[in-house]
Amino acid sequence: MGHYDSRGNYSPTPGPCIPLPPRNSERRAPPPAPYNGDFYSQAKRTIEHEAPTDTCHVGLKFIWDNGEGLGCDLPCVLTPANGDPIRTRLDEYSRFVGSIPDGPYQAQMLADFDTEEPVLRSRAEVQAALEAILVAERAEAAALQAVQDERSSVSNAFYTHLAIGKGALYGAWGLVKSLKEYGDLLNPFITFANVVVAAWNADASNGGSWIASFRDNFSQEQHRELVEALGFDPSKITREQLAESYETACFVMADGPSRDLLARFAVDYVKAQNREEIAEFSGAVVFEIVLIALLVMYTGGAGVVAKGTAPVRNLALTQRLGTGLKRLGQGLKNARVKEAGRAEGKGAGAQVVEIERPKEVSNAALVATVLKDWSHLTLSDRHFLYKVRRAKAAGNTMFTVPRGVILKDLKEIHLYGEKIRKGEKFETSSGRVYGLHEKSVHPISGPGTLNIDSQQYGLLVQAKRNGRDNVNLTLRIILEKGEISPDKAAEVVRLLDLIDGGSLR
Amino acid sequence: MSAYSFMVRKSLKESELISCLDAFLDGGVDSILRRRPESNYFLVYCEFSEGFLGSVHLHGVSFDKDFDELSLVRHVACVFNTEVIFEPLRIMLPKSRESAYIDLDGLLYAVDVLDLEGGVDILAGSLLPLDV
Repeated sequence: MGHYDSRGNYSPTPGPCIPLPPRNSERRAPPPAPYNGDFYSQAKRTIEHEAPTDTCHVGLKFIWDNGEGLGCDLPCVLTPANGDPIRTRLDEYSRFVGSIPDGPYQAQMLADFDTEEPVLRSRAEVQAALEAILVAERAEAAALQAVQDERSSVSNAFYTHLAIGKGALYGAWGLVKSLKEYGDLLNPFITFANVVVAAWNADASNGGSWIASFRDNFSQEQHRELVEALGFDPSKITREQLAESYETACFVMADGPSRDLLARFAVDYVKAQNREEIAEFSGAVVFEIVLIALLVMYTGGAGVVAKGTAPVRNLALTQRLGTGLKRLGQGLKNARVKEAGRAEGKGAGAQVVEIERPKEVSNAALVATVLKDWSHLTLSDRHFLYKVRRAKAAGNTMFTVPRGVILKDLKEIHLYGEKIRKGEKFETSSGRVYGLHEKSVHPISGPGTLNIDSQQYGLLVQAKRNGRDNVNLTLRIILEKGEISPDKAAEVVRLLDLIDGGSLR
Repeated sequence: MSAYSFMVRKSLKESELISCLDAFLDGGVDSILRRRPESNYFLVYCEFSEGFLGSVHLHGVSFDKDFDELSLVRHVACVFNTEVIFEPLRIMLPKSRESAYIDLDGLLYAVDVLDLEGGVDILAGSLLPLDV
């Protein structure tokens, strides 16, 4: 059970034991006056425990809309119409129970706290951190280019083919360095997304909390897999902190100005890196930024270097961003408690005040941050007859239809990749099946494809490099020597005729 | 298997390559440039413009288990003092790698290969030493 401290900050861990103010405000009868010696003229005695007729017993419970209590010790002020304000704190069941002067009353959570100023301050803090990161990115443009140049072309493709909101920041910030590592995130992230969203939406009215629900359903092993895949040391991050990252993202996403702030950052970040694309701004972008910043803040970047990846870029600035985002999330939560945590009543009775939580950053959005998008894939062009390079012993499936036809398959994979994916293969509506290797797809079977062996492929390479006459002569010689079968030689001739026909381009 | 191929970093003179292979393969090699019809192998040499510049392709009736591919590519690497990449017939590679590579010191690695516009090259950082 978490708690709110005296400044209204929420913490998921139990707080210090603070004595609560007395809840029973009934006034006890004054002690009787001493006996005056006159039996017949004594003062009227008051019956002990007799309740004054002008008070009433009320009960108030403040909960989130998932049934989870707001938390122990959260300050609340009850203002009866016929009396002075009563400053109290919620009990361990997030309740106020006690007697107040009879008549109408108002209850207000965090009444004595300014919840707007901290939000404005932390939002400015986040903005400053984001701007500092952008300044650093722009200033290091030349250095960044040098870094890009040092990376292999595959890594460059990895960087440039991912969009913000689809995992690009994990790479740009140095958390993952290749498509392989990016792919390794897939299963742990899907598990995390399923568990965290289910926990966020689960009924917590039995006295639990959504974070406890998450912890109960996200095992230590699953936690280790995810955190390691992101390149951090699992011992430096708790499951509760992962859940907090998600909660922060939900609160930030629900706040228009904060959302706009991150959206502008995403656009500017793309420009600073000379990138061309940005995914549609969504909760995925927010979560991507929040998760990175908070993980870096919690760990100080520890673990990433040990994994062998580049150090986290802009480490200090990212930590600063994480601190700002954490405060912003907490500030937005407090503001929501104050705004919606109010009630009015009249006389005795109990009521439950329910506060709406932000809508969840959806499972689909979360998973979109790791790989469910295939729009970065390219076609391996060594399978086009006019792009041959190096024979593969295992066989080489060649396209025998024009490139334009094949590009339609690629577009289908980009648009509907996840729907037509069967394991490591994509089955397109054309009937052609494609395999996946790193950043590219290659044909496996289907109409308009032909599988040839390495000898045949070598002859196509020879035709491209040395000319058709040269390969015709070779074919004649190796046919005579029995080093190629007539069928295979005929197939090569047919493919060469296709190339010479010019229709394949 | 009726063909065997490998690529060399340097651009070679085909006549020198023929001499090199003649010295290694029983019966020498046949080629368009220098016919030797009785040879069991027919050589095709092509050149690329990027990465590994020479492509060596041997046609033959079979390249069975007696064909000593590693000694052959090491011989070529040594004679021409060049790096070689090849897709081994019998050397087991780690699952994540698709080709073998011999460096200038004659050491053997498993590597990933990149397709370039005008040829192929090894992927920097993908070298895994092989103990064969």
